[in-house]
Amino acid sequence: MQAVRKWSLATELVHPVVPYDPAAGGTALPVNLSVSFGYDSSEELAAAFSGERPGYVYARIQNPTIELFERHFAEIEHSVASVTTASGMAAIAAIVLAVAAPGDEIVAGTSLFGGTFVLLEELFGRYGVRTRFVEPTDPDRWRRAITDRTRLLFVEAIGNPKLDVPDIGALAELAAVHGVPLAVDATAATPALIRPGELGASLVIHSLTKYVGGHGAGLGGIVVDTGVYDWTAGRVEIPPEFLERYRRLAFAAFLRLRIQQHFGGCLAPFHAFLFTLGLETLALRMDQHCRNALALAQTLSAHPKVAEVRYPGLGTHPDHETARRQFGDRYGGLLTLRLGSQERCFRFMNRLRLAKRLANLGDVRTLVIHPASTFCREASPERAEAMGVSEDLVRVSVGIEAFEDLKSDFEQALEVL
Amino acid sequence: MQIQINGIVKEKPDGLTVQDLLESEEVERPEMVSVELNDHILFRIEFRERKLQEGDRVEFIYLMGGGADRTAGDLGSAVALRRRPESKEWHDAEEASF
Repeated sequence: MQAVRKWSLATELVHPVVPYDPAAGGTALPVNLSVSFGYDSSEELAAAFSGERPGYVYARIQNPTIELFERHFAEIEHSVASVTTASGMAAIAAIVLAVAAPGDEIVAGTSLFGGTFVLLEELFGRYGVRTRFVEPTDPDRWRRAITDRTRLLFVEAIGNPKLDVPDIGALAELAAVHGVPLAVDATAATPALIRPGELGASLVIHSLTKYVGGHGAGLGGIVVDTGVYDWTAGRVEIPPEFLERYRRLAFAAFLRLRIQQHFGGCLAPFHAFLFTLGLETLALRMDQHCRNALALAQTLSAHPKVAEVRYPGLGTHPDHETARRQFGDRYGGLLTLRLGSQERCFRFMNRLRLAKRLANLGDVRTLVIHPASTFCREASPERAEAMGVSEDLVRVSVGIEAFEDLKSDFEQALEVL
Repeated sequence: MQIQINGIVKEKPDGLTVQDLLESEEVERPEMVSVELNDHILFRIEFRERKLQEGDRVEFIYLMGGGADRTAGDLGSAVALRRRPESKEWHDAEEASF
């Protein structure tokens, strides 16, 4: 039975279901930096270690600050559990480590963040886990790529930097038919645009570093178990001890108490605190990111020196209808421009006064980057094309500044071309 | 009514909510417990509203320290190694491990 949700996202973000600090009545998340937790007797410590009694043991396994943050985030996603990681990349790595063994396969969309592509193809390839890459917006390609060794479908809700938008519901149906989990990296969309679990996705990933924080201070990632996938009955093999003890939470427990404990890619408690500060204003900020990005995309589309603008909110975008339906008529803060050559891109970017040239997205400030010479520089020409990256492409992460100031900054920079 | 709590059948008064049950069972660290009811994880907002019924199966689950015991580790490793009998590499690994 689905719970009746009383509040909208903006309210849920600022009122955690499990209060942060009921003892003192504080509204901020208490930061507990303790690495380990003591008990009055050895017997009690042993009981906490074995799980016979609930209790914290060592911060690589769990920590009170981290646990409160994870509970809050799971509720925001209307999901059953979440597990934090040291970064968004660590979140993806943790999922693959949990679901795949040598000989297993992953099916992933082609238009992934460059770092994710390297992780899946090159690094997990070294350990015998093969990823088959398919056009993300064509469910039939996904269907044909699934084999009896497939253990995970992986896609970005908004491809970075291609900005394509797959039909999450269609992919979730496909995943359910084949008994494999569907993981959606929703970093660029955030819960303000989509809760993939409500469309049938099994896992949701966020780089907390991006829009969730918004401040560009502190790395972090999170894996959300939406509760859709039955880990006791699907193709993914979770060790039976975890299935028996943690039942419907077996995946989250395996991730938290085995993968994170032993691979060690944990979120720092202070960073969890920083992300709670960001979360409180996420809905407000996303409203402004989306408004600014749409207005900038429209302005630049009409500019004679811009060859092409790609933004899911434009009627000319091939996935506009999917995006409109899936994201509630909002389209995120990312857009790309084509300016004719790398040299022209660099000249334009160097002239910008407000927008920062740096490798991040989702910051409150407007950021620009040239993907072909930075985070996609390792891709072959064929791969770069599939990722939507060309030599003359600039990615813009539109911030929350006053739109008129952004417009004037971009227009004056285009004058150098 | 009779309900099953962590595998043990107990007699409880009719009309009990999940929150009432947490209190009557004096569940440790109730703010950090997850509750599975008849194979579904409940959301926190359901605790005060959801009334239990005859025959319900309730599990209290924590993701804090447990799962770190050696028994779990050995079981997990053994399963991982046995699951690919078709692979030569895994046979080798299995022989080396046991």
